[in-house]
Amino acid sequence: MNKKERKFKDVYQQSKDKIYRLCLGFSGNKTDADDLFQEVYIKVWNNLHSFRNESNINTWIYRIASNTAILFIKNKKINNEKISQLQPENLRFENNEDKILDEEIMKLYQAIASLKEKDRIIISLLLEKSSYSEISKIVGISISNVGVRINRIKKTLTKKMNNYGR
Amino acid sequence: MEDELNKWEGLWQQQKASDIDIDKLTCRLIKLERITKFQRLLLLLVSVFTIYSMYTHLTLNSYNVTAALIILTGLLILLIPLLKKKSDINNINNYQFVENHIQYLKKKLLIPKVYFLIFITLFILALNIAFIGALKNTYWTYKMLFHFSTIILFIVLLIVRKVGIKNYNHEILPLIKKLKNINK
Repeated sequence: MNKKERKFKDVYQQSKDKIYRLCLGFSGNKTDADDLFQEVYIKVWNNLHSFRNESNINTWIYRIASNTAILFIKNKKINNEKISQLQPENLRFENNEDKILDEEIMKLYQAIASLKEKDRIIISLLLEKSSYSEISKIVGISISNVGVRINRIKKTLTKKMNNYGR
Repeated sequence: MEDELNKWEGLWQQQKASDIDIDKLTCRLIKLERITKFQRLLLLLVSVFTIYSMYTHLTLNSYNVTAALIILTGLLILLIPLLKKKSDINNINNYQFVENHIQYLKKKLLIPKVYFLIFITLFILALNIAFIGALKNTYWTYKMLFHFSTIILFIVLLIVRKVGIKNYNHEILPLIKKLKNINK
């Protein structure tokens, strides 16, 4: 195993769960999340040379994942129609695999996937316990704006989750 | 609200990554990397071979040399924007990434609109120059026929360009709009 492979596997082991959660929160379904997840690690592989050990791995990989997600959704041509299908009242489990997942977890992920793209990234990072400063560095908005948006997202998400229960 | 957030956090963290075979993925990535390297080498070899063949097989009169140089210039004008690297993905934030990608897409729109038009104009010009040299000692009607055929070719290429512009607009403009919405 060469140095690059070793480094890649280390990064993968350290980050796989959080990146998968971000992918699932962004896409709202397992099939797209799996595709996005693989695409993120292809980008990680291609950009591994630019990662310096002294920099924060979380910020580096979240930037790759969120930037890939923005373009992935675009490439997948997820249009407004599909987004509207993700509204809580329209939520249905897509296949047997999804059924296995706890309903509550899937509800949360699908509710997040129905938010605006940037909001999906912000809430995903917040749920990964990222600091406001880190979120601001990844998303590219000011720390105060992060706070404002988080409050708004929480309200929207509470509403969506409550509607879901009805 | 804080309770809700803690509850979501708990639910969120329960989700784990699907099992993917990391060894298999790494092997595939190494293979892809090798293929890319091979393709680059192949492109370089083909270019060198083409220039060599032109140099050894083409009658090196001023017409042919001028035509070859014009085609080469046209190809470079078309290839440079096509091969331009996409925006950096790992060292910039989402806002900057989206902005860079919008600029990249806007430049891409210029490929059929501007660069392809320059290319086909230069290509047709080069063909006509080459024909002047090649048909020096032939009948006037022959000359006319060949030059006229380049006009037909030019019209065909213009139609191709028009279709290209339509496809690019159809594909790229909605993306630009969507990306602009993300950064609002």
